[in-house]
Amino acid sequence: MTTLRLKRGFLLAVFCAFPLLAFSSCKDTQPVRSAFTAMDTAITAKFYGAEAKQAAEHFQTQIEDLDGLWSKTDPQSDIARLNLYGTLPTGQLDLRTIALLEKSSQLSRETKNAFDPALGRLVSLWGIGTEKQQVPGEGERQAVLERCGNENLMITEDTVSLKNEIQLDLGGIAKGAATDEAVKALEQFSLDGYLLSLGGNVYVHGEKPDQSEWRVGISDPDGKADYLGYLAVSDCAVVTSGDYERFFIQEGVRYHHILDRTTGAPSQSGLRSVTVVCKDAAKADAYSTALFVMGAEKGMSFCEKEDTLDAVFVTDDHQIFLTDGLKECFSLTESERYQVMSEGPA
Amino acid sequence: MRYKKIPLKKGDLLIFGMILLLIAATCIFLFSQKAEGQKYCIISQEHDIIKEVPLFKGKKQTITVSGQYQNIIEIDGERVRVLESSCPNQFCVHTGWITDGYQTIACLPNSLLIRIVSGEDTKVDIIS
Repeated sequence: MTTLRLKRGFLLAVFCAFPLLAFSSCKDTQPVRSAFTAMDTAITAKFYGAEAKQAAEHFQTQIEDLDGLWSKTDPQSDIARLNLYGTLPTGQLDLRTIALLEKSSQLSRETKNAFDPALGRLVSLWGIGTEKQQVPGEGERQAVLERCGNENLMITEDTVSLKNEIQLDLGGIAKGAATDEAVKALEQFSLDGYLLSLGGNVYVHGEKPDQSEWRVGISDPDGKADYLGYLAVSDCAVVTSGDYERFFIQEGVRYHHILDRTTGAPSQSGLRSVTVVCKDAAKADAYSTALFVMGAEKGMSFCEKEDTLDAVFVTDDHQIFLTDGLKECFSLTESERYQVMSEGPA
Repeated sequence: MRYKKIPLKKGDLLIFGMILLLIAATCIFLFSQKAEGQKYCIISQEHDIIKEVPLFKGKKQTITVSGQYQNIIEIDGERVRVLESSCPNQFCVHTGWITDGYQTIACLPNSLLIRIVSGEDTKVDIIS
């Protein structure tokens, strides 16, 4: 009789355990998602783990806060006030803004101004992606270039000054810098993994519930497929700059938003896109612009000198060049139209 | 070997009842899991979700979103696009159809975000 009672008890335990296990596994595999618009772009994120909900809420608040500091259009932002007044005491600027300006300036020097945070006037002259987009004449471009350039951004202990009437445009670094701030803040939450995308500036951390790596697709510049291939990576930023993002076509010529300071015009480096993989998202953001301007050959040798930097270069004749660190984690899906080159660019 | 028959007691019936309840709960759970494989189109504006539309093959509909500008969203089976927009840059219209969870359509002038959510795994998690 006791044996039978035990058997009943055992059966009951099994019946109870099954749905409980099923429920608990469900809770872990569904991410908490976040989607909103800020920093002039669409922002999406998903979080896995015990504190996913709190992390998602914190992430959105933090990004909106940074948008308030770095927006070019919000007249109250640090950047808009700097552009308006030309000089501000450091006491009137957020410490994060000063850190961002210092980093922007340093990255500009490191890339010999292929990335430059002080091209605001040139960006406004072309107006690409706005109602005022136009192809300015050579004279106009040269005149504006005289009022551009990172060397005019002066940061001292007491003041930040924009000399020579330069205007800041942090479009090539602010989203990356905001990602870095978010990643730092997310350390306080108990999370198994998360994915952040600030308008295609991606950061992936940890693992998905099935313990697989994150797969970040690289946009097909031709737009015939959603992506040409993907990178299987984790704990890093993946940022792409491409000529297909913002552009207009006039008399058969594509004018895109990645401007080359040496010519004052959209970069003609033979590339369609550059994807940078780096732990530092601000660096990844700035370098993706810089490497695009440098072109495949110079860009590849630049990456070789930087241990922490890897990149995928897509040329306008559909060739793909990968730095050594990405050869194992890149998979080509559009193999009929694109070719991964084993030799470096000529 | 013969087992002696044990008459059912109140407690036993309670246990059976509980088991049946748990089986029912499991079935409901599995059914809802299946629903999570269902694709949804989520339309948000500013910080609020304004509409969640389950996507079914063969079902067509249009949704108009107003605000600072107006967007007409077309849903055709499991794909979604912005058909028309009164916004100045028309980026949302030029994005074209989206079909998978890693894609979004944004109309920044109207603070509109359209995305597809599905429990199904896609080959990539996001596009850069």
